[in-house]
Amino acid sequence: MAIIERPVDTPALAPEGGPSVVATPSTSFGYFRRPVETTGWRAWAFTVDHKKIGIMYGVVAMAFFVVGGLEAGLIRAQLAQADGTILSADKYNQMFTMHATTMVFLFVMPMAAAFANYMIPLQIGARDVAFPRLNALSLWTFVCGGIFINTSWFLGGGADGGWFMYAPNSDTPFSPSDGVNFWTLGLLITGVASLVGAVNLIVTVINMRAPGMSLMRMPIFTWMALVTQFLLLFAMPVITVALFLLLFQRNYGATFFSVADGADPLLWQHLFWIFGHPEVYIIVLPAFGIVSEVLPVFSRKPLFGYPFVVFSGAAIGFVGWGVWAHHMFASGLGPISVSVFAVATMAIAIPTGVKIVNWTLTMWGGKLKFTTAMLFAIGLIIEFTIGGLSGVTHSVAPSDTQQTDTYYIVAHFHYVIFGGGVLGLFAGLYYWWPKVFGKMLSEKIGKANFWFMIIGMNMTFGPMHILGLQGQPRRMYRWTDARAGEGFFNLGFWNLVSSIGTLVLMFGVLLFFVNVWVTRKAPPAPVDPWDARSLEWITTSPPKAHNFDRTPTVHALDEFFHRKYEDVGTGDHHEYKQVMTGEEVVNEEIAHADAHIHLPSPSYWPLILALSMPIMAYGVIYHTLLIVVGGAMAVGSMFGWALEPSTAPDSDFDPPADGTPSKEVALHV
Amino acid sequence: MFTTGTKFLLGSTVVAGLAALAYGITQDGIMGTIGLISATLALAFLAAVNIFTRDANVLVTPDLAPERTAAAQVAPSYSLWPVVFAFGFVTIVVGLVSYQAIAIIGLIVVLAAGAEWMAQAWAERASADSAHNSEVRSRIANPFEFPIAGLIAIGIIVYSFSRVMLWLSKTNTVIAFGVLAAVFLTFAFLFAYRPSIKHRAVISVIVIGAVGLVAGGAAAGISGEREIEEHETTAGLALEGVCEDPEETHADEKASQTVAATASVAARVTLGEDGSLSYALNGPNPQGENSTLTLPRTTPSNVLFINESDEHRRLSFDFGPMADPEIGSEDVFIPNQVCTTLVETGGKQLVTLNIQEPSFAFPDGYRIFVPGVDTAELTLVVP
Amino acid sequence: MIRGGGVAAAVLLSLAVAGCAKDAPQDTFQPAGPNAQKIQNLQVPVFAIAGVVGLIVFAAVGFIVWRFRDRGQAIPEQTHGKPALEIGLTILPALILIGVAIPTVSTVMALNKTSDTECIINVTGQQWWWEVDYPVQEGCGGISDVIVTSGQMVIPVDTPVLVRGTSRDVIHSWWIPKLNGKRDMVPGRVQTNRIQADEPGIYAGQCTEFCGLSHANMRMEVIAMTPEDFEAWKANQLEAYVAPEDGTVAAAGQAEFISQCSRCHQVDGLEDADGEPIVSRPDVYIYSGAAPNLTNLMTRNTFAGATFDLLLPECRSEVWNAPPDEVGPAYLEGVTPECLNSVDLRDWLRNAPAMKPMYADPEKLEDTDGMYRGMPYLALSEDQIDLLVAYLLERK
Repeated sequence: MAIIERPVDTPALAPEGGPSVVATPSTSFGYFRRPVETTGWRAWAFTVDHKKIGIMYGVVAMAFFVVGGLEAGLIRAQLAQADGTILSADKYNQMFTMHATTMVFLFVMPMAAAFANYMIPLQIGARDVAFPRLNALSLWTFVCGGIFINTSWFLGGGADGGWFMYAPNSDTPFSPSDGVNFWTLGLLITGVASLVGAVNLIVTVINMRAPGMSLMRMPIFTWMALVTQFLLLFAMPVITVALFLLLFQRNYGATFFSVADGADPLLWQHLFWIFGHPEVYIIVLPAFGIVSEVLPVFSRKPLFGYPFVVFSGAAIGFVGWGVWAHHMFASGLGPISVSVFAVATMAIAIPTGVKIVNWTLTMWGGKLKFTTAMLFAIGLIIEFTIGGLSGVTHSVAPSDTQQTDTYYIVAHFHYVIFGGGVLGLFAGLYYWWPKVFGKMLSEKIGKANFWFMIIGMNMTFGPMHILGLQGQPRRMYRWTDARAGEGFFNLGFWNLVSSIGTLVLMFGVLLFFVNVWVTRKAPPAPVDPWDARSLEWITTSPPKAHNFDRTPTVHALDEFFHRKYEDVGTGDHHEYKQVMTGEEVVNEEIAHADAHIHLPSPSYWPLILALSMPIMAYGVIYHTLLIVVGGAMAVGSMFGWALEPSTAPDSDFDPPADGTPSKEVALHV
Repeated sequence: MFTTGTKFLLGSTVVAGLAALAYGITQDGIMGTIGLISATLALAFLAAVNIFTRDANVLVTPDLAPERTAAAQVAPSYSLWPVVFAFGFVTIVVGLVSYQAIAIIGLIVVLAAGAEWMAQAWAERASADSAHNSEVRSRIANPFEFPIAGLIAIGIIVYSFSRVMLWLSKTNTVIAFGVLAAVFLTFAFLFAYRPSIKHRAVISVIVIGAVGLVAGGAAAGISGEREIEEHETTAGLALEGVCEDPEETHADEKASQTVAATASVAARVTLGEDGSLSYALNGPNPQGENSTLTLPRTTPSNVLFINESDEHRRLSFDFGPMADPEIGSEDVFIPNQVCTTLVETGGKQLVTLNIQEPSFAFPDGYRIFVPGVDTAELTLVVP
Repeated sequence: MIRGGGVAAAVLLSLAVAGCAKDAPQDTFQPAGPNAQKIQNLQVPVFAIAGVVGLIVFAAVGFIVWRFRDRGQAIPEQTHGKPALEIGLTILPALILIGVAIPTVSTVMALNKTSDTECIINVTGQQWWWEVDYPVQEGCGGISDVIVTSGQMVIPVDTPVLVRGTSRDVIHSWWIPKLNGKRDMVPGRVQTNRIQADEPGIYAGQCTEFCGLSHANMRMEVIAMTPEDFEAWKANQLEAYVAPEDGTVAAAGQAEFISQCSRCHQVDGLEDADGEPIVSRPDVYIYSGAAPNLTNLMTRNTFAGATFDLLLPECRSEVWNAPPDEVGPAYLEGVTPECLNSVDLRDWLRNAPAMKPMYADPEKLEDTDGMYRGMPYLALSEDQIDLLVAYLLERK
């Protein structure tokens, strides 16, 4: 194999009077040519376009949402009646472990990553992320990791130690199947995805903002996503360490958690929760960002107290590191530690409360339009308030020793993660759907979707408060009539209500997919369907490969609003006159397209590198030879990555020489 | 078409082949035939290579006029690799007569220099532009060079550092480490504070540091490691049969004190000034004279020994007789004992016990005692 | 979302009155002793505050949604907020939380005191049952020899008891909601938990730290009785072993027990033909290294991790629902032949792993050195089961 092709067709000539070099690196490296396909599966598999990557993140995350939802359905079916027999104890334990793992790592986090990937470059006026190939690597690594974990279902059963995987119950004598190995290795792989993505997006936000966009003019979603990426950057190494310890404990005879060898199993809990608590904010902050975008648009007012929301987000990002042990109030830390962490936990309620107050005050005095996105956003305020307040009740450590590991906790974190996270993500889906796909989702189905989901979630998770306070522990594959009690608060009735609620909730989610299907052939959406306020709307929907024909210059927070409206009032009296429609703003940008647009070229290597990881992981479980094969593939693809030319031919765009702007930009992305 | 070299090699191939045939027919020995066939094959291979590379002679490149080829237009640049290659080769020879390790180093040097040589020669023919050529070389070679060179550098530094640390005495290692950290911090501050500092200055500081470290490592490696004392475990003490012995043994009294263990003590056993042995649980203290300590069966329990007497003492546990493991007979019994090392006055030490058999399995039960103090004894009950 | 708020409010309201349920054995709002009462005193106001704050937020959102809906009004002022209001609304919750923090810390300290307890009881968790032992001590009215039992802990009323717990395998959590919050029992550590019951009664609890396959089947009970009854219980536990009379079914059962069960299950006082005590060695057969001590099995009224009743439903109800002053005597009666729930007991002896999921097949467990986790299937014949049941009935 010739790695270097000599330029035979166009021999390098040195004509008299000066050097003239025809050969360029891209023509020298024939076998490392970059892909150029613009259609078909290759256009997606090898893309480095943050928009395509964002969409793929979303699609895969949604698929895992369905998987996790079905797992939840089986759990609730089992618990609908006393002594349920739908699942065996073993299968039930796998089910709740994988439900949590799937929902947290394979749905909410990647869904947030989908929004961050798609929206951050658009919101800051960039053409792409800072490291486009790394972006593709994040996506494919996540996909590989997610599929890898789920293959355990067909290879001896899923992990059965709970998503918190407390040592020593996760060690081989107590969990002899390969499930925990799949879980450990799978999370290590998806951890790579998160870490790579975090570095990428942080660099993007810090370095690639459009002219005029100071940090305090950045759209709030980008801000919250930035805080999230910092949390990921610091949290992921911790869980990686923990997972490696577990991996070696299980597979290579290490004794990190073996009591007989002098280890303390609480080590795992500390490591896990130092990751696990920031993880909660990793889950909810992007959703908070989305809601903070949606509420102002449909209230037609700027976000109330933008700097407060920004700083409270950052404060959550900091204080979130100092509260991990509130997951361990019952594990015997000693009264001093317990007190400190209890107070720190109460402290984090303050910045969280600030957000609720700001959202409420954003709507105050507004001109509220109840679109589906807005309904989801308001739903989030209500449901997250419930989750936050139940959180305060168990920051009270003695009270928490009664509540922890009961269904009350399950209720709490579902109100936080579903109420505070998933509802926000759905608000984002409805709000940005026309931006991403150029089509409107049906508002009618959307509202039904909202109401079924909100009623379903309250029916499912609301009764869990009661179940928990009545003493029903979590993670029990069956509950018994002997401990169910009688009267209004008996466990039997409320377990049944909760299980029926799950069906309602599932129907609500199904309506979303119905909505997508029904509107698949809808006419193109208007350029500015919501009268939006931020930068991502100053371009066509869906955006072109290069995002903006002209790199926008930013003059204010809510740039788009200020381009459309002018304050014609005098003194304290404000009156807003529309000076341009959204479409006119966009057309003006197109009319002044930039002369030269450089875009990154697609690449084969991120996908190949990502594929090598599950191969190595299977190797750890089954045969060392596979580790060698996967390792060789990984090293090889890294070299391929390093060696490939920096661009594909013709990937840059130059408008015609006479300076007339081009409407259609042909790009190989 | 054929260059002179090629003609020569092809001719030699034919001659060698004929010779092999003749030798095989006329002579008895098989080795000669094999040798000649091998020579034939080798010569044929060389001839083929020569045809392919056209005797490395750009003048015979058929497609292009000689002056138009890329290689003809760039004078080869200076190269370090022939020298390194030769050096490596000599090192192999030296190694073969002295130590094998040196030969292996030489082999690695030869392989590395050969690879670099090839990469450079290859890149120089890529185009007519030497800047582009050097870029081509970097692109091919850097992804290999950087990780390997980095690993080697890290390996040398870590190894040198470990030699220095093993040579210093235990206390001095702490000081050395502190000083080193301070130096690092100082320079880091300096560089961060003055980003305009000259590139060359930074590099020279690093190089001086690295050379110093490596030199120190070499020196320390030659002068050898400090003496490292051995630690005895409680199990080891029991096997030596010293649990009934009040005398000193060479053991590290801090060996069994881990943070996790001190956080979860099943019982604190105190040897008082008056020679009495008493215990306390983290609950109600036994009122009056309670001389029976209960520990659970088949679960690790930490017992903390606190020596408040005036002498250095050890705490021993007697678990009845057991078959002597060294003799392997069921009839010869030795005491089954576990003990701490000798604990200084006012000192503390932990023992972790995991008792498998209940105390009632032995007629005399279990006891806790302090060798040398007859009054210090507790009954140990294990259900 | 008004309805969303309504549902939420209903949930919160229902939380506030969750304490009203009757006969919910693990209700966290029905303290039966001073420790749980301390928690109750703390959590009731906190729940109330949370409920009120929640209602304020719901009302505010509801009002805003109704008042500021789009009725064609002009685009509102593009205000970016009022810092004074912001700071005020940050300080307000901070003050509330300080108000909550102070009693929280003082309660944490009070619940962690160990020096004022008068009785020590050790609990040891293992998959999937609790061993309870009473170490030799002056406390608990004086205990002269170790008492080992399982599943059910008997305590005297009005006595502050210190539970010292650990685990033999994975982390378990010991929780009697009516007496105190839970405390994880971590292998290698000794954890403490205070309990005290005001009235005689049976207080139910459950392992609340996920501990593997049969986590749902790991329960426990605390039986509080008057000091006099407690003395009677202790005396009974420490009574010397009485072998069944020769020639009885139970005597044949004893032989059967020795050959089938005593490898793992200790019966104190059981002797072999040479008069040597029979020492069970569960550490050889069971991964956690322990099996329930059956010396006084029939003084307890549940078995196998308090999962199954030893009493028939009517008899059980008589003990569990007895008025406080009759609980002790009723419990001390133990299991009589008429009250024995022989169906569950016989099923258990017939095939334990079918009754309660356990890793009872050591061939699947290369990582436990061939040891069982839980009671294996013993392939006993019906006759053998008859004998064993007869023998076990006398263990009281």
